Amino acid sequence: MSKVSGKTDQAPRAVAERSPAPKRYHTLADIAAKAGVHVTTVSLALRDHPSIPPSTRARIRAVAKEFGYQRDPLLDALNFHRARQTQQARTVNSAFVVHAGTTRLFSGAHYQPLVYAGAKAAAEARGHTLDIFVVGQGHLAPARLNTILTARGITGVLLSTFEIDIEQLDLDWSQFCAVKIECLHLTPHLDAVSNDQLQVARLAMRRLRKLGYRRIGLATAREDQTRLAESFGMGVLIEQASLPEAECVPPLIFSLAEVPELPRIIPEWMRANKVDVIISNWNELFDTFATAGIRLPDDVAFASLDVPPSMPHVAGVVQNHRLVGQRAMEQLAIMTDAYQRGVPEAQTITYIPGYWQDGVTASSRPHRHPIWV
Amino acid sequence: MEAILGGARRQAELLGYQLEVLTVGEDDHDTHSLTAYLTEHQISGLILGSFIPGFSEIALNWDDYAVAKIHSRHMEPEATTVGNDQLREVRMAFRHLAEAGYQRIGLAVGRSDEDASGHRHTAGFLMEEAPLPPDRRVPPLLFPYNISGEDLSGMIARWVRRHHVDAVICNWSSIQLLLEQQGLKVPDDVACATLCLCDPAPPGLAGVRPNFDLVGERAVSIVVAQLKSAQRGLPEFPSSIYVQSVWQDGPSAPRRR
Repeated sequence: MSKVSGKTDQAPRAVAERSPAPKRYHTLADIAAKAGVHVTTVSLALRDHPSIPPSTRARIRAVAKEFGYQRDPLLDALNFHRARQTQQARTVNSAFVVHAGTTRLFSGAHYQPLVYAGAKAAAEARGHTLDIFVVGQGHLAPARLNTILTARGITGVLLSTFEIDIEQLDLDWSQFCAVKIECLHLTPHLDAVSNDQLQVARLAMRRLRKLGYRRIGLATAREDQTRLAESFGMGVLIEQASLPEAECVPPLIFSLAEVPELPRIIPEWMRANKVDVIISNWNELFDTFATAGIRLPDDVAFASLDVPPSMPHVAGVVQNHRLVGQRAMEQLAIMTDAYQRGVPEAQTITYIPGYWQDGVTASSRPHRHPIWV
Repeated sequence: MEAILGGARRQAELLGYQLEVLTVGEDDHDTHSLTAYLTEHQISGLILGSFIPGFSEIALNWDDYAVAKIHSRHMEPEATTVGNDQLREVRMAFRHLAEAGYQRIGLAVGRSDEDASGHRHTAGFLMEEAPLPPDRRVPPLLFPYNISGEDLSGMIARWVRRHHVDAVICNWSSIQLLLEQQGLKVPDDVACATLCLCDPAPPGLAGVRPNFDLVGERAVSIVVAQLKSAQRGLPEFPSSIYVQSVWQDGPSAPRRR
């Protein structure tokens, strides 16, 4: 829709010249004329700029209301652009804090690098910097981190995915704007951004049922369940609530200590429950299948609940790790601009959905005799 | 709804925007008249507030607007959605009641609320029930759309008696009244807690107090951020934002023994 920019001074037109269009848009110049001030003053007053006395601002706002003046979104966009550029002059530094113990989520995994990439891109788009800091055994202690952040003038903190054995991180939170990524178990209860594992699990189950699978089994680690507030499990439960009991498979929840035993545990569970497709966030199960001599997809199909970018042939749900990082950083930037420091009175949690990807590991299953006799 | 609107108005004013409430329905706006109104008044930021399943919906050209939804998951558009966290609220209520000594905790929630929230009430409840032995699990009561208070009261009472429920979690704040109407004494026969303690709250009712004003605030912030960066239309992967609530003890669900 075409808008008259507030900056253009419109000379009053003769009535006959006006086209039969909707009502004429009022401009800042109209308001300035009526209020007896300069156009710039009007602009500043409507944006509540502190340089204009409050009484003047109120008077101008009243005139604007009289005119039914609407904020021009294009102008807003221009101002946003301008504001961004001024911010570049004073660089805002933020910290991306990870825990040394989360090697499981680092090693060969796509997760942390993607989250960081998303956060960094969002930071750079706003002219902020984002530096990585590592806490934990052999790295920074929380008190030391606090000192460093303060010394460097860093006011924004992203906490990324701490394992469940870390229950708390003691920084002087009143000094910082902070957002957690994924680690919902971690205190304090800062605002958090996370993949929507519940949606991911539900999506996987629904897609697989459409493909013809009827005995879908979830396999995941107890530690993951705790860290993710049982989201995968709940997603499966909701879907199972509307299924006949004959089509419900009890999930296999294993502990990290049992991982070496998986080549025995998985086939046992599969056979006992006549599983036709396994869903799991553990892409390591490919190794388990190989070790146990399980053939994919003949013996059982597999759909990942966290398909890595390097595996386009794998069926399952792709989680938006990069977007999680990006949105966490965007939220942090808004909080920094609004000077929202400390632990919030009421935490908000933001979930980002994933999307399904077809693949050879779980292709369409024609209606035939079940695999398990 | 009042609290959501209150929070929304305050945030809009703070950010320099005007907030207007428009109603959709058989006697109010439909898609056509709403589109005309929005165009005439040059409104490009929309918050869709708590539409109830079974009632009117609208189909605007979403690409023209910056949109946020409050709950209303049963309907289009797939926009960034804000709400209170029903899932965690149910889990919180369940845990408080379990800790207080209740053994047969039941969930009673309307189908329309379930549909609007994406089944988050039952999700939380099923997760809390899962570790219990099967004989202690109470099947949730999902009551129908548009049920009268009287019918609902009878339905809940029959369910309580049939499953020997000792504590009811209900998203209606009239739950104590509904139980007492059927001769069930609270808390002696059955305890109860609500998921929606909003002022004015029935005195003595235990339950969850949602931060609805923050929900309204957040919805406005989302739309304003989009307007300021000239973003229109729906994101490819819309976020779901949940504002956490708090538990409040009350004599309707006292500690047992």
